[in-house]
This record gives sequence, C-alpha cells and structure tokens, in this order.
Amino acid sequence: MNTRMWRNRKLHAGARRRNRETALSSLRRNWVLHLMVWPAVILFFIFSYLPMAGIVMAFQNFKPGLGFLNSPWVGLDQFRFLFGYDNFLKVLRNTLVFSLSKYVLNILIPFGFAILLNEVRNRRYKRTVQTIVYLPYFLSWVTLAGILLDMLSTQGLVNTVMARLGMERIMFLGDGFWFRLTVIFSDVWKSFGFNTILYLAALTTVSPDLYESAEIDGANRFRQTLHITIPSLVPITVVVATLALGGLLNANFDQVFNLYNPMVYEKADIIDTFVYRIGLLSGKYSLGAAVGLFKSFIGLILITISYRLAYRFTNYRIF
Amino acid sequence: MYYKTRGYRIFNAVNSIFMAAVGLLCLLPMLHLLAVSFSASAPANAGLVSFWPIGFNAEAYLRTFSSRLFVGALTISVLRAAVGTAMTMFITLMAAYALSKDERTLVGRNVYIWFMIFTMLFSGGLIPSYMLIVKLGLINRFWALILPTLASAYNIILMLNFFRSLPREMEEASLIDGAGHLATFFRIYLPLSLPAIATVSLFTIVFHWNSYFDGLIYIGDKNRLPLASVLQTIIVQQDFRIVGPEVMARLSQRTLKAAQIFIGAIPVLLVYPFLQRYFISGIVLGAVKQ
Amino acid sequence: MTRRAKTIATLVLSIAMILGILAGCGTTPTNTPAPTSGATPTTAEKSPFELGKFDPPITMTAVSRVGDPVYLYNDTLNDNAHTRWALDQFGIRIEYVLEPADADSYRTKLQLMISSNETLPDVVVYTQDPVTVGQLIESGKFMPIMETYEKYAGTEYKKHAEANPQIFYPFMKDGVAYGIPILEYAHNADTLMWIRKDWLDALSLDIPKTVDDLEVVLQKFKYENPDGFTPEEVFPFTFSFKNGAKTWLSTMDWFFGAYGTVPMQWNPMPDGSLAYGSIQPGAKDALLKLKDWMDKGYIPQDVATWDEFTATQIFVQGKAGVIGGGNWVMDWPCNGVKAEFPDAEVVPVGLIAGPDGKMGATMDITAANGVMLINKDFAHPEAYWMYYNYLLENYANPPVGGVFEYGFAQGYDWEIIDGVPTNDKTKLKENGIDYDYSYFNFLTMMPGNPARIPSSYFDALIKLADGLDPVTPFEKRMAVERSLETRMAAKVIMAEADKRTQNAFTGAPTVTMTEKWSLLFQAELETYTKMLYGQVDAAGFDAFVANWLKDGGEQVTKEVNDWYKSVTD
Repeated sequence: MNTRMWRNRKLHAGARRRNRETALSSLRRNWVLHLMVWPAVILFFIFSYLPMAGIVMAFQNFKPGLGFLNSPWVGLDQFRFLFGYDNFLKVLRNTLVFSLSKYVLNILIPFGFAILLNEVRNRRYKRTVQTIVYLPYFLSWVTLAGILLDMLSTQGLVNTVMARLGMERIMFLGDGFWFRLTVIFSDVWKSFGFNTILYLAALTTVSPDLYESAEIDGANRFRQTLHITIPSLVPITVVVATLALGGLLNANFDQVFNLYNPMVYEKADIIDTFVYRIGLLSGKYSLGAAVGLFKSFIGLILITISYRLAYRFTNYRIF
Repeated sequence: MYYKTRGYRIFNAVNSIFMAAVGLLCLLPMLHLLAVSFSASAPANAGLVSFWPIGFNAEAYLRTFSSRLFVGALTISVLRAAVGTAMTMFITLMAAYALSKDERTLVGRNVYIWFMIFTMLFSGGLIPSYMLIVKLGLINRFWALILPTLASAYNIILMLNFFRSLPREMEEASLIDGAGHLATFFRIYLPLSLPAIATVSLFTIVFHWNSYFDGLIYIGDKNRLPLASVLQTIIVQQDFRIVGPEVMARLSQRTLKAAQIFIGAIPVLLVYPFLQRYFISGIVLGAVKQ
Repeated sequence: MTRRAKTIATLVLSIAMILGILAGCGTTPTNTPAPTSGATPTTAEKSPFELGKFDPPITMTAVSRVGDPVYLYNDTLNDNAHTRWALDQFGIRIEYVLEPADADSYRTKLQLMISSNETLPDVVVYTQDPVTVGQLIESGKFMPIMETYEKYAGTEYKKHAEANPQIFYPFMKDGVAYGIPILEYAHNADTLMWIRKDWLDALSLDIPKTVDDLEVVLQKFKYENPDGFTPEEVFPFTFSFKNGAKTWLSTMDWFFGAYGTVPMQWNPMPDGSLAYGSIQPGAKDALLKLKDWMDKGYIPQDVATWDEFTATQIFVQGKAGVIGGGNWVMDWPCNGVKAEFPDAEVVPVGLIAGPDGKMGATMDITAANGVMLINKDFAHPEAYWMYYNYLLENYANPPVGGVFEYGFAQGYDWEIIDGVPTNDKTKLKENGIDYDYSYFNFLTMMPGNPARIPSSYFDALIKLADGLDPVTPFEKRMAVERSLETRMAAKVIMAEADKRTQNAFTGAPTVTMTEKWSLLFQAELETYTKMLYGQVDAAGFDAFVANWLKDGGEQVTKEVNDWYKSVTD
C-alpha cells in the first residue's frame, strides 16, 4: 500500500494548491475534458434514460394492446401483490443464499487463480491454461444444464464413480442442499476463467522494480506475493466487488431455470424464477417491472454504502 | 533468484499440476460436446456419447455451414464486433480519461459518474427500448446493434481505475511541458494502458459476438442477422404437435447444438491469444524510465 | 438523350406495339375487346371469392415459418413454389413481412409490435401459448371472424366446426370469436401405454390388463431381464413429471385413468359439473402406487429432473420397458431402441384397469392447433379463406387424379422419374431433389400438411391397420410415413374412445385463473413429485387439496362451471 498512500498524499497536496481556483476557471482551462465525457453522456441519455420512462409500467397494470398511455394505473399494487406472497421471504432468502455465495467465490477464486497462474514460469503453458479455463464461459446455461443433468443423475458419471468408491449414490439435483452446491459451484466453474483476465491485466501494471528491491531485501516469493502482488490487486478487486453489488439480487435466472425441478422449489426458487412463473408466464409485465425496480433500488443502496465505506476507510474513491 | 530455491521449485511443480487439473476440469465438458457434435443423431439423442463420437460424421457442421444465411451472418458478426468494439473503446477511453481526473479538474465529475452508475442499475425494460429504436428509424439497421450499447458504465469505471493507477508524475510532467489534455491522453495514457485496453476490448468483443436477442427483435430481415442470432434460427425448438414425428426425427437437435457451440465460439476464441500479447508486465515501468 | 433520339425511340416502341397487337390478333382471330374497355359484364357481377381469383391480384402480408426455411433452385422468401402458386391460383401475392427466428422471439416481437402500435401483417398465425393469443385479441387490432366464417368457410371446415363448436371458445372475447382455428388431426394427442412385447414373450407374460398385471411385469422386467441387464441397470417404467402428469410425451394420464381421473384437465362429473382432475381422490391412490414402485426400483430415480424427451432416453437405451405416449412414438423417438436392439418389439397397449376396474385417459377430438388472426384493416379477409378452403378440399386428402395427387409442386416434393410420377424421397434425392419439409412456407406454419382434415388421419391409419390396401394418395402417404406400430396404436385408441375423456374446459383463462393458476399449478407439481419420493404422504396430499381449494381453486372451479353452463345452454 506504500506507493498508493504516497500517491494519495501527493494528490491531496495538489488539490489544496488548486483550491483557490474557481470552478469557472477550471472549466475554462479543462473544457476539453468535458468534451471527452459528453459523447458518453449523450449516448446514456438517449439509450438508457429515455427508455427509463418505461419504469412507469411498475405502477400500472400494463397491457400490450393499450400501451403506456392507456394502461390503467394501479399505484403500488404490484409491490403489494409481490410482497404479500407467503413465499416471498423464502424466495428472497434463496436468492441471497445463491447470490452471496457466488458473489464471494466469484471474487476470491479468480483472484487466487490469477495469482497462482501468474507464478507459472513457462509462458506457453501459462497461456494454454489461461485459454482453456476461459472456454466454459462460452457455454450457454441450456447446454451446460443438459450436461450437468446427465453427469449428476443417479446413474451418471459422478455417481458411478462414487459408487465404485463405495459411497452412497446422491440425487444431486433432487435434494435441496446438493442442488444449492451444484448451482453455486457450476456458476463459479463457468465464469472463473473469464473473470481471471481482469486480475491478470491488473498484475501487468505492477512494477518489476518492486519485486527486485524486495528480492534484494531478502524477501522470499511468498512474502513478495503477500506484500506486493496482493496489495496491487486490491483496488481493482474493490471496484469489481462494488459494481457487482448492483446485481446482487440477480441470482442467474437462466441457470436456475434450466436446472431446477419441483422437488427443490423450496430451496431453489429465486426471485426471477418465481416472478417468471407467477407473472411473466401469464403476461403480467408490470409485476416483472416492479420486481426489476425493487432489485435496482436494493442495488443502488448497496453500491452507495460500499462506495462510502471504501472512501471512509481507505480514502479511495472507487469511481 | 527466488525461483531457484528448493521451496519454490516444489511449489512450482505442485502449482503446475494443479493448473493441469483445473484445465482438464474445464476441457472435459468441451470434449464431450465435441464428441456429440461429430456423432450420429440417434446415439446422441439416446445420451450414449461420452468423450468419443459414435457413428462419426460432420453433418451437424455441414447443416450449419450450408445455411443460406451463414456466410452473410459471419460477415455481419465480424463487422459488428469490429465496429462496435472500436467505437465503444473510443467512447470509453475518452470518458474514462476525463473522469479519472478529480472533481477540481473536471467540475461536475461526480455528477457525471453517478449519472452513469444509474444506468447500470435502472432500466426501462424491453418495450420502451424497442419503441425508441422504432422512433429513431433503426429497425432493420445494422446500427441498432451498435448504438444502444456503445456507452457502458462498467467499462468506463474499469478503465478510469486503470488510468488512475498509472504514475501521476508522468501526466504532470507532460502538462508542465505544455501539452494539452488530448496530447497527454494520446501520447502518455494510451500507450501505457495496453493491457487494460486489451482486457476491455476483449469484454466488448465477446459481448458483441454473443449477443443474439437484439438481432432477433431489431432486425426483421434474416439476411441481415448476426451469426449468434442466425444460430438461434437453425436450432429452433420445434413444437412437436405442429411439425409431427417425421420432422422431429430429421432434426438431430443435440448434435446441431453441440456443433454450433464450436462454430459460434471459435472465431472469438482465436482473438484471445492475440490479445494475450498485450498482457506483459513492465510496460509501464519501461515508459517511466525513458 | 437528345430530342431526336427520344423521337426515334418513341417511334420504334410504337411500331413494336403495333406489331405486337397485330401478332396477338393473329393468334386469336376473334374480336376481343380492347384492353381499355375494362372487365366483362359477367365478371363484374361475381366477387373474387366466387370466381376463386383476384384480378388484379391483391397483396396479403403474412408471417413466415419459424426457423430457417430452406429453398430450392433460385427460390426466395417471397418468390417460391408456394407464393407463385398462390398468385397463380388465387391472385394473392403473399408477402412475408415477419421472419421469426424462434418461438420466443416471435412472441416477444408480436408483443412489442402491439405495444408500440406498429402495423401488423394482414394475417398473423400463432400456435403457442393462450396468454399471447389473449393479448393479441385484446389489442383490438384483429377483426371478429364469425361473419367471414359464415360467408366464406368451405364445407370441409364447416363440417368440423359445426360438430365441434368449442374450437372457437379459446379465441372468444365477450362472446365474439376473433380467431380462425387451424384444424388438426383428431386423436393425435391421445396417449396410451407402450410396452416391450419381445420382453413379455421371452418371459411368457401376457399383455398387462390391470395395474396388478403391470406390477408383475415390471418386477420380471427388472429382475429377470431378457436382455441380460442386471436389476441395478434396469428401471422398467419411465415417465416425466417435471411439467406435470399429463403431457405430450412420457405421459402418465393413462395410468391415473386407471384410478378414475385424468389429471391436468377439467372432467365432467356424474352430476354434470366440471372438476379438476389432479385433485381427485383417485390421483392420491395412483401416486401412492407409484411411490411403492419407486421404492421397489421399478421407476428411475431421476424422473423428477427429467423433461419429456429425456425420460425417453432410458427406453431408447433398452433399459426400460414401459412408457406412455401418443400414436406416433414409434415413428419418433422411441423407435431409436431398434438401433441397439433390432429385435425389440414395442406395442401399443389398451387402457389398463385400476383396482376398482376403472379405465381412462385423455382425448382430443376438438382438433385445433393454432389460430389465424386477421388484421382488422385487411380489406380481403376472404383471401385467407380462399387459400385455406382450397388446401383443405384439394390438398389435405387429394383425390386420385387431382392436382395434388403426388405432392404440392413438381420438382420439389414430387417429380416424373423414368416416366413415372413419384414422391419417394430417396428416389427424389437420387435425382438431385433434396426434399426438405420447409420448402413450402405455408401460411398455417404447418409443414408437410398445412391443412389437415381432423378425421382423415385416424381413418387412414385404421384402414391400413386392418390390412386394406392404400387407395387414396393420402393413404399411400401414410403407408410410407407411418410405422406399423402407429397404425396399431390408432386402432387401439379408437377401440376405447368411449372410455377416454376430453378436457371439457376450452375457454380463454378465467379471471382467477390469470391471477392464481401458476401458483396452484406449482403446488400441484410439487406435491405430485414429492409423493413419488415419499416426501409427501397421503395426508399431505389431502392438505394440498384443501389448500388448493382455499387458495383460489374453489373460485376457479366455480368460474369454469359458470363458463361451462354458459356454453352448454
């Protein structure tokens, strides 16, 4: 953290020096910077903000034939309908079980894997492994679910091996506990290779000088990893972790939908699959919109808290 | 050097074996799919194929390649990935550079940032987006696939963090030398951010390559669909009640689906090793020393 | 172009025209009226419908078949054997303005189009879920069709619709029908039990007639398997519960029928009211029996996770001997078992009797599959009827010597080879015509046979099953396309048609159904599956029924019965 703190201190000194300048003179001097942001701002306005008018749907009983203008207004009925379900809390809990486990593992495992992969000295071997672990990212959940259903069936590959080793056969996808493990780990397996790329890119910015001087100081590789490699990955990790909070209530519809069955509804039903069955299948778009809005608000709150905490404790602005 | 010590050598051996094991774990399902894609449809549908094709044939691939839409779709996909990525990178890099400055340099920076963060969270859904595309006259146009996703808050935030991790001295030196923001951006920042640019480009290429749904709803003319959307049309889940057994029997869905995973993914897999070249540590340092 | 050149060009053209007219007069030496004089008095009185042709031709925009149609020669989406025929025959220029890629994106596209007030095609065919059909009707963009039906429907269509007025019920709003149902073969959705006859013979067992017989059969299949599989490998009875007990393949409705109820449909009760099949006491007994069989290892442990198709795999692998399905399962996919076991003999079995001697299964004689909606701004709704009537009367069951005797279009699905007309696909392929079911992009989205006469299919199959020679082109086609097993199945199904029950509720979803049905159905799926594994017992089933009634089921039942009374009166 040494370099970073030093840099931060310097940054603040610079900021103080410019303190006297008015906002206006800064604008005059830095208008080019504004010009550089505006293309993005305009695109966001057109393609993200204009369609946001559709959020009104959450407060309507939207009918495609009537459109936004003529669909009846129902106020908060959609939310009452949703939160009024006996099952809603259970579904919310299931969602959090999946999404929190995936959240933590999808950060830790690519992080650790990137560090280990970085230690592989043969460049060709390293690149080959890197390419192979990135393959599963390109499988759709429909395909992957088909393979998993096959492999994890009671007569499937995994159970056959387990039976040979004298273990009990397990109905992985028909038992709530095993189902959850399957969902969490298959998700991590599918995406860790792809997520690793970001950390590998971050590692390239670490100056070899730091390792050299540590070597001279007599630090072994483990200590170098602990004091140089890991700290240099922390900023990007914090950024990724914060941004991922925005989608915390998205526990991956495609995955659960393709894997689950009536046996495990109780432990497997997430908000999105639940809403799909009670709402979207019967054409209740407004319910879907209300759920989306609810999830967005939670995401906004989480991101804001995380942003504040990171700033308070590390004096680092994530964005 | 540390890697000559005994302890490290043992670690290295264990680590290499571990990497091989993880690699195998990721490779096996792909091998299974490869075997299915080259199998006859009957054993594939009966779930008999494991890691070696049964009744070897390449019909699933030929069926896809012989689609009248295939070549055009491939071209459109390549074009989409190229144009989309180039433009996205342009927008992203510029915005990220400006936003990597502090509030005093870029007045209103935090407003900009939260304006963008908001778009990651809230969306109006499909219907208003579609109406917008209709109103803009983009239905059936190539640009309907490019413009809506050109600016991505996620990419901008990643990029601005990379920019901020670059040594600040270089920027200050450049500004003192009298170079403007644009010159500093092009001469100092871009060359030093190649790993980050390669990463975000890869994300964007993969995103464009895999997107199929926007094509299906925005592009009505099948001759203008990108590959990912076309693949969707070739393996349609047929409604049995309508097509009847004679049609179902002729469609070996499994082998086709498996083949299309490879047909769909190979071009984008080829891009990766090429971009890996830019993942070399030390570029930043070298620049500082000069 | 200079002025002089223009003059010369005009002169040359005029001369050419005069020569052309003279030449025309030369070939038809009658005093035909000049083209400017308009239509003859006789055609002016008759409408294009009566004439069977629009002159000048009209354009009808439509939806192309879902998927990736293949074209022969230089055919394209809007210029192919089918569109040329329609233009020639009826003066209708079919123009496909929507090309859906798959069912999901088609549904989304339609919903988006009605939401954003885009112009819809003149005729819109939809074959999927009733929810979307309801939205399309509700959008007010389609015309009521009863008037066009009265005026334009052909005899073949009216014959079926008058016998089965319920075909219009799903497309009614406030008592008005908004969709023209597309006819389907009757009984095609009826299901029955299929069994490995070669195993029965090897074990000297008779075809099971009761549930108890079946239990003995399953026990022997597992423990004395004729193909030499060990008991650990064989799970003789496969089915799918993931989407319910009554479904399109690997179905169980015939098993529940033995306990006096057909699940997942509304059955008439002795008192004349309708009741939902899945919550009847008989279902509980059926489920308890299945649980017992699961414990004994007769049922694969994974059935809860299998969809309809996956459940057939174990049968195709030769490790199961009993499966439920329609008349066609030995055309696809269960015929796959013969690849590994050429001697496998799979036969359709009549309904089995339960402990009280009851029998039953589902039935479908209403026979509609999908709907055609007509844009209310389309000036010529009769154009669709002309097209559909013609296909129903000339192509669905073509007479010997008719235009469609061998197929739809020469050079596509039939050809004269060595002087003999043939539609044999292998022969066509040898002669360079690679027939594909999607060549003709028919408006009804039904490949192969776009217009189906409900009774024709089983009539033909039963005739063939009785050993009669195929006479009509349709019978000849069935003789080639349908297996012996399928013909037998048709006969077995028809012999017991009186024991089968049709779903009596065919209306659009009721108010409470729209609100509550998905949750009620979810509880049903959960209870059924869990009973199979013993996680819910008999008392649990009773609790499910009580909750089902309380959580909206009672209200739904009332609404369904109100509807039933309104249509039966």
